[in-house]
Amino acid sequence: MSREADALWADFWESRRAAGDFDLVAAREGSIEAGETAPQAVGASYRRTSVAGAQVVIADPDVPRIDASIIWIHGGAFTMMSADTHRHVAGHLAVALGGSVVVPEYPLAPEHPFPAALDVVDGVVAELVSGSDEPWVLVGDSAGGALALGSSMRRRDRGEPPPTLTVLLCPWLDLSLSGESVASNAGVDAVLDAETLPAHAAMYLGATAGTDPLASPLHGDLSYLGSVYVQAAEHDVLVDDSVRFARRTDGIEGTMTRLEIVSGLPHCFQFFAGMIPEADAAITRVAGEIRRSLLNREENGAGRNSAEPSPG
Amino acid sequence: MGITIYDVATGAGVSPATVSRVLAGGASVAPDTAERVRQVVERLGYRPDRVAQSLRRQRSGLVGLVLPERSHPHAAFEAVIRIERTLAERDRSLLVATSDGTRELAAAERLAAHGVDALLITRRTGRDPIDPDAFEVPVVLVDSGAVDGVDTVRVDHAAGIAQIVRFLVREGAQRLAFVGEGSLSNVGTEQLEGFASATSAISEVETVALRLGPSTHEFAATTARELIGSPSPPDAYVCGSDLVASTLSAAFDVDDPERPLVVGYGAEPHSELVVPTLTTARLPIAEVAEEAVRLVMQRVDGLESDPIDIALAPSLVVGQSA
Repeated sequence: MSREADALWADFWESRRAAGDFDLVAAREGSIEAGETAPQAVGASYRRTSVAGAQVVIADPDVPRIDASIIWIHGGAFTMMSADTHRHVAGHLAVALGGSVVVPEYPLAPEHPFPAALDVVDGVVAELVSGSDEPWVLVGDSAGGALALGSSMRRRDRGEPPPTLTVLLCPWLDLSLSGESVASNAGVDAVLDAETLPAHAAMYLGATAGTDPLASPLHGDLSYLGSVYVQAAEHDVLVDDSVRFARRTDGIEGTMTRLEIVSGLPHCFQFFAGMIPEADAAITRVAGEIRRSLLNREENGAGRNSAEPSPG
Repeated sequence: MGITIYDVATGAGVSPATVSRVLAGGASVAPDTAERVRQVVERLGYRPDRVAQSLRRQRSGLVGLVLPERSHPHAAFEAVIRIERTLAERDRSLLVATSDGTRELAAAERLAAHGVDALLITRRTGRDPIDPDAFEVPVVLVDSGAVDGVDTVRVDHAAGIAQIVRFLVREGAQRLAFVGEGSLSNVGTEQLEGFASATSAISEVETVALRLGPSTHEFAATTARELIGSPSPPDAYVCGSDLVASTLSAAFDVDDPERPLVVGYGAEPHSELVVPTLTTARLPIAEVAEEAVRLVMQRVDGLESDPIDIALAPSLVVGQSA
């Protein structure tokens, strides 16, 4: 572990000790501040526009090198964070990859419970990729992972092709919180407080069951989701969601998962790109996986995904 | 040439490495020996001034890399490519010497004789301190363990194996075997240390076998035969290389419900091709290569500080074998 990461996690533990009961308003304000103070990527610029009626932030690299749509569904337990809090990390990926990264805003719970966020994500994805032969990549961190997979499950059920690659970073895929790591990693995950998760899940789910497949993809049909690269963190309270996703998709038709668990790091350490070298290395690795998937697609003949059999 | 570290070493009756440790402020030298060295340094007026040395030298634009034969050949190849690319970005060229694993320092001297500006040295075995001042150019040890008194950039192999052990325990393993090179290599030694410390920290597991030998099909196949027939066979194998892991894994029927968990090391390309695919550790080769070049070029440019140790942990790639 780098000195930078050691110091950062120590700060997290300290502020958790100092904090009182969970307060959503304060947590939202804190996340906005985290996004504003995060080091912006050198070599990227940002613009705001709207897609399918949703606000999006787009990170453009100064030096474009690839032709592909990269859509990043941000995390934040369905209740916090925004395209702005994630623009720095989208910028780091844009620079590492040489491609623009689109981060949609979606409505947050509890004001807008399930499936409001999924509907918006679904609409943005459809608008950006429908009818296009370009490769496209769906990235989701934490809660964004569930939204990314939920949108791909809906597309599959409509008979539409999966992304060229789906990248899940420390995804939260089970809102019923049945993974063992929720308890076993509670003492080592500096970033995510496991005790707050049931409240976030309840705010998002409303009257929906925690095992609803579109809210908790781990409980759904995981076939025909295409290639998935999962980058998990060993100390994440949600690491079991990644391991169970890899196990469940092993040998399943139409879904190929590669799972990598980064040693000794907490939930969504990738968010701290530009601050800790582990996050920079992880984003570089994500860019490498995306490049590899684009190369595979070219070698296999562009658009082959759409010719694959699909149920539904 | 003025007073050298060898003059100080001769005057104090110690090795150059000891002089180097004293000057670096290391605590591993007996106080009276350290005092004797300091007196000789003062008497002779010796100053280990690497900036002055590098300014006196004509820059060649070459950086030397000593690379031994390794049990992770793909990783070694990737390291060469990454180091060369990172150097090329800085307008430097790479000069490579290989060794059979016993003559790294001789290979380094050969490169130094060609006028390289800096040396990156990977040692297959040997953990004795090397004298960074012996080469007159900055030296960074690459993936050769932590060595006092020298800049090192390395993969934290102990951490990599420890993560594998923790993963196997989570997957229900109770009787672990380690099959690797052990003291045959620096990497094997660190892996074994990682295995020992991780298993001793977890009460639910016992180590039922430690098999140390070369990273070859023959050794792995023999080991598999011996352990399968043992009275208390392991339920999980921690392997020092993907080659050993894939050989061991192939000794068990894919559909056998009693099939043990097998984890490789190195994430070589074939780890994704064997059936079942290997769970293995991906080594941060690119990161190590880039950090090593960055550090050694900072030294060439005159950075003076205590020796720096940068250790990067592998990550676990989860396949089907565990």
